[in-house]
Amino acid sequence: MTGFRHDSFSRSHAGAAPPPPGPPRTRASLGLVVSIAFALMLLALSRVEHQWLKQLREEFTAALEPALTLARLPVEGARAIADAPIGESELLKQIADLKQENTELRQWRLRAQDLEGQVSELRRIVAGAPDRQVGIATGRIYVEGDPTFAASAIIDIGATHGVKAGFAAINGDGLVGTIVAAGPRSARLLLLTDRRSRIPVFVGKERLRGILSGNGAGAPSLELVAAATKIESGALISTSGEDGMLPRGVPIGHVVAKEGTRGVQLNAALDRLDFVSVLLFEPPGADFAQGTLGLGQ
Amino acid sequence: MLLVSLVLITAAVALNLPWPLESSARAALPYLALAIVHGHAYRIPDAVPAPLVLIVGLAADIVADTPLGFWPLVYLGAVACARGMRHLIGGSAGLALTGLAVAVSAVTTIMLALATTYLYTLAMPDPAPVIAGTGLGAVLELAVLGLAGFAGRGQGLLPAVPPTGPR
Repeated sequence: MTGFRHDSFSRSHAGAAPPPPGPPRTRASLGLVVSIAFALMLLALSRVEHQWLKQLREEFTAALEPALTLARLPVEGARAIADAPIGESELLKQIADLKQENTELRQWRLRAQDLEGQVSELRRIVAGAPDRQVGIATGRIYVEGDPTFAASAIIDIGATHGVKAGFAAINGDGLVGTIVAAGPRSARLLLLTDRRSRIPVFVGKERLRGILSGNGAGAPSLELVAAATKIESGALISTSGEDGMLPRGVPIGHVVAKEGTRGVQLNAALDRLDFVSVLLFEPPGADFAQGTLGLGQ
Repeated sequence: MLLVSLVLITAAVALNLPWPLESSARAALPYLALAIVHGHAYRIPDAVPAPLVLIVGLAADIVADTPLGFWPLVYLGAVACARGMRHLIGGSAGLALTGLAVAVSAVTTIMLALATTYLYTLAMPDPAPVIAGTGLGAVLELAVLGLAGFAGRGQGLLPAVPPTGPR
């Protein structure tokens, strides 16, 4: 123990000046106390979601976007290495999987063509209006939130690309979340797993109404409007659009019923998001509210 | 001081980036940044003033998308622990390691309390990343402190700790 104590930690410099007494240390302690008080004030303002702080944060994030994009370069490199196929056997397995997937997709294409014909025929019968054209803006995630507080991300597209708060964000697998704030060149995306996320959904072929609620864990929970209704494991879940904000029919995942509990397996892998597309879907009532009622002007 | 600022900001940003790791492994990374801040505050307190720690914490908040003020408070807690440790126990390696364990435990408690207060629900993170991050952080900190001391006999990477504690 004597030897352990007699090491570099307990050595002092030969001839080193003794620490300055009094005032500098007091100044350092005062600086620490003031900094802690400032951090506490920031945290309190963050908790009440003060508008000034939110704006400041958005501006900071937008200003730091180039630096953050640069900082992500090594992350992209690591991701490319992690995603690279390991060997020939892995490649062969991937090819086999793709072939199987391709066969299934061909069958689905035939089915989709058939359904498309039926839908257009029905449209002619009811003389219904065509679906609203929904534009898409695609961006890349460059900041991911700490899951302890918020399952969120920041993407590198914003109001200049037509992105607004309330818009849905998808990837190739389905819905991943909604936009909650949009700056000029960046936007904050609240993922489906966040505690504050609530998405009205249809469940299964019967289109049972429910609410998909994030709970901070990997799998959101599903609450049905008719609580006594039974649903089977594997029932598909998609957006119902009943909040007037999201388009109807965007796939989300499927029900996983296990030992009396009811969970949801999301289609999209939210822990490995890279690119996302924002659906530029204006709620049907927005133009009415702005034009007729004069709101939002 | 400039070098230390760069090291701390780079560590805080880099270790909060979304690296392609398992989620529990990724959750451990910020604890390494915490250990780096703590180690520097212990070894060279004059080069780690509180306003610098505040800026480093804010950078981490922006990259990690945590509420503004969270990481500054945690880092400042670690700095306060480091300064207290240094004043009370001086510079023994064994005691420094014990002190780090105490500091990280205290800071982890602060983090849990903050997260719980912020979310209004008990935020109980997976213990594995906390243990892994703390353990790795302790090894890293000891390695940095030890290397600095051995290389330094006066002119090393970091100056040796003058004994400031009561004898």
